[in-house]
Amino acid sequence: MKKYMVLVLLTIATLYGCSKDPVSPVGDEHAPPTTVVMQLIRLDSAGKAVDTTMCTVRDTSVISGKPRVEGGLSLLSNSKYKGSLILLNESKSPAEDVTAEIVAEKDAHVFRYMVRGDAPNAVSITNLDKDSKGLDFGLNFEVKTVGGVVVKLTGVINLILEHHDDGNKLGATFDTDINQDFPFDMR
Amino acid sequence: MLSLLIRYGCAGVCAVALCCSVGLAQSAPIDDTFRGIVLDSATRNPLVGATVELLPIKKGCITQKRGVFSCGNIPAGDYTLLVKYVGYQTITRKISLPLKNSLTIHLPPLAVALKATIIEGEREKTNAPTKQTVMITSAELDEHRGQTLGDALKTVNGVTTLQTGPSISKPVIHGLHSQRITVMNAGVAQEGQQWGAEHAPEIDPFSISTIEVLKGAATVEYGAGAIGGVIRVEPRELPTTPIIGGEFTANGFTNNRQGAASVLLEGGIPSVEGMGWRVQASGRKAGNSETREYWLGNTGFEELNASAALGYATEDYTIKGYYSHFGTSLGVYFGSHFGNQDDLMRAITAGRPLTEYDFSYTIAGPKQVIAHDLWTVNATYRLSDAWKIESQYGYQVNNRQEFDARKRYNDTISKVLVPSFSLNLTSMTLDAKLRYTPDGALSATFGVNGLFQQNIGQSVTYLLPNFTVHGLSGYAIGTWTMPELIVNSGLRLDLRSQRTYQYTPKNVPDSSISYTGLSGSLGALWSLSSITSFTGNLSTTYRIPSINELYSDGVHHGTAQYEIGDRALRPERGISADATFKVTTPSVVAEIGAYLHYFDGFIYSAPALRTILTLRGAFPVFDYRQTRAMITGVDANFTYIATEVVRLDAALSWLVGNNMDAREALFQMPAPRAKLGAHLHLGDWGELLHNYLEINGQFVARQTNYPENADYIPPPAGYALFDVSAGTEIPISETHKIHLNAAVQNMFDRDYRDYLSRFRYFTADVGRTFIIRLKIPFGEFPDE
Repeated sequence: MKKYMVLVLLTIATLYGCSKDPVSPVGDEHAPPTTVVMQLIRLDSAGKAVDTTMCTVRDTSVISGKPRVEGGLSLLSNSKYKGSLILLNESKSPAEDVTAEIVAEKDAHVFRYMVRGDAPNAVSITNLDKDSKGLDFGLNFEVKTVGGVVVKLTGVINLILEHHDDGNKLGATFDTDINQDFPFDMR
Repeated sequence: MLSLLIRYGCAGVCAVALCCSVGLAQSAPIDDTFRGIVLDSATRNPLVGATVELLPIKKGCITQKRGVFSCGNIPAGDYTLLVKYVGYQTITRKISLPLKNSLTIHLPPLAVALKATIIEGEREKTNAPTKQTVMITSAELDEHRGQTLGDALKTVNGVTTLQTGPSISKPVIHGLHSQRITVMNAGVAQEGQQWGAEHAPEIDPFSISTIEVLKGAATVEYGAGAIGGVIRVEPRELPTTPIIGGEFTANGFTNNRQGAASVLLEGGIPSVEGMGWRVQASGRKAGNSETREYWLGNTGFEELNASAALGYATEDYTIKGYYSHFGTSLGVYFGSHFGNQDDLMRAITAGRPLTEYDFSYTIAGPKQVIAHDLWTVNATYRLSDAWKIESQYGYQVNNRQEFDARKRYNDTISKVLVPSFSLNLTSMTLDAKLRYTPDGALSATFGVNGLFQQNIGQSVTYLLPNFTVHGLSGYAIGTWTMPELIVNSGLRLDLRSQRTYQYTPKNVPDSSISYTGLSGSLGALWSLSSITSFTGNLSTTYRIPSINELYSDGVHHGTAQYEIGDRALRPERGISADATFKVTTPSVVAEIGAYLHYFDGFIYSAPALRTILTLRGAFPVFDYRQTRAMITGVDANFTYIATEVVRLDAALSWLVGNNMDAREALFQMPAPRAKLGAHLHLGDWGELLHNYLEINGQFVARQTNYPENADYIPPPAGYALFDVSAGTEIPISETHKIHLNAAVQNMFDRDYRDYLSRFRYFTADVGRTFIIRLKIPFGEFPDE
């Protein structure tokens, strides 16, 4: 009976003695981007930068206190733009630029662009930069707008970031990491 | 002279040969005493003066003080055991002597239609004579052992499974599952993230010897998780005599080319009588599953498990230690994990794989990697004839990692795969029970239960906050046994404190909530005549919202659903009731039971009919709400022993779940189903003994009671599945037999989908499977 009581006391002690105090969960080491900035730099006929237009889209399910879509792309007809994307993690303070992380995995990622809206053929996106195997990567790209636009056109540039684990960027199975619309207007 | 020499020479040689053969047969020591105990199956009171007889030798003895019997000079062999006692049902059972353990025989009183049970060794059953209990014996388990614990439970009427492919199967009792039922493994409640619909109980089917399913609320004895019922899974009893033996079991399944094997070794310690040990290890490897028309990519799984037990038993006290390790890697079908809603809708529209897969054993992401370790120490001490104390300490660690389809590495140099989340759940429980079983009509159990639990997780995207739970409960159950009526009543008090740790990005504060719950039960078993009985139970139930119901706030890994919890959820309070009428005659057992579960504050997740825009796109929002709900149902079963050879079984289960506030059906309630089966005892054919053939048909209707606007597609069509199995026993020695059985499941390779399968949106269910099961005993002890 005595042995039995010792066993009971021991177990009660371990039950209540062993409680550690776990602090909040370990932070995400590979936090996905919360914000995508699409930047288009208009080039003149010599290839020099003239002006810049930007649009920022945020994941407001993670970031609060900032607008979901900030700014908008203002395009001129009959122009050429150098486009690029900047990926940020704004859940940290100060905001962290995580573009390099995607560049490091460019063989498994491809940015796809699609124009929708009033006149989808008025804007074309070409010349995506390539990965180490010569396949499209698309972090940097070229935008051309057609001439002879009389009225103001509106639309969106839809951006999809596909993640292909096997590097087969033409494969049907992929993870969609980003699927966002960047609004633009064109005159 | 020569002829005389030859004659005596032959005789001499023959005599020597005979002596030698007899000597060889007797080289192993045989215990020729047949021992056991006879108890009243309702009250577990010992029966003194019961007759235990072995036919055809007509030898036996009478039970003495405390119901114990000890019949000496019984030669080894196969007998029919006959146990008789005035006022009780006489039972007959085939047994093979000698047995390795003493026998515990539960005799049901004539006025009460309970099942007689004969158990080797002694096992304390649940203190609930009025509840609906179905027992799956080890012989039945051997015949139906499947790929998971869920498979073994499918034979119980009223139990269905929530499937996520063939490898993940969660039991559902009367429409309730996850946090609303309790799975007890070796006396300890299994704790392992059971809130997840794709989180199956981490129990090795080979480590189990018997399963007891208690249908209906058992919250007073088992705590808040036992609203729908309790599934008690028990390992084998430990030997108490110093002999060593074991078993090798192997199962093969053709559909996913699975091989599974288990080796068990157990024995006693020669110098210490009453001490026994067991070690067991098992492994399983399966590849992709196949439906009638296509393969399901990445549905393979593998398991490596082990268990060990050591125990010591004397007449007055017992002490047992048990350790089990369960480790598995489960592939999750490629076509069931989605990055966003567009991908999800594409897969649902197709309803079949978008890619053509082939057979493979490779397990890639998405996958689950789980390790569950359980340590238990159990001690019982008989204080006196009427008082007995039992205590159980359990320590379990459940580590669950889930990997996405896409590979994440901790860094590009070492390339160590990082899971999308990793949860570590540590639980410690301490149970102490004081049982009072005097000779009179009143018996009681007083119990105390302490719980400490901690969940620490790491994840790429938010899943749950870390939390710690402290719980303390106390209960008292009394049973009053009268000649034709047994009344059972219990009361339980639960104190619980749940502390969640701060997680700033999701505004989870550091908070501590305390809960106090009181629940009670009342049950009665009334024998209306010598062949009919009626049982009724009424219980109040109480369940605290689980952490995921309170704090979810993100995309649920792979489902393309954004789940939002509600921190204002209050505990679910409910009332459960059941009534069963049973008829038992020598050739017919018929039972019909109706049940009801009413919940005030039933917590469930439903589409919020809005989407959340994340960077990956739009996700439908599902939020957790509370409502008044009611589940009502009927279970009916019928067994008819038509002839010595033929036994017919029929079962029907039907239930309806209603969301009373929303005036619509509850989501994911099992559809009505029926089972018909025939079991043929074909006897012995030469060397093949105890042959049998079994044919079963399962008929599931289309679920027509479902909530509108709460699902991507309506419930699937009804279906019928047919199984055939046959078995035999082949003697390999005087005392050992190989048990062999072969079966076909989904005999006609039907293409079907079940409403409770989470894959029904994307694919049909598994096609035809041929199964072969083999069990080979070895060592010094004989078969039962």
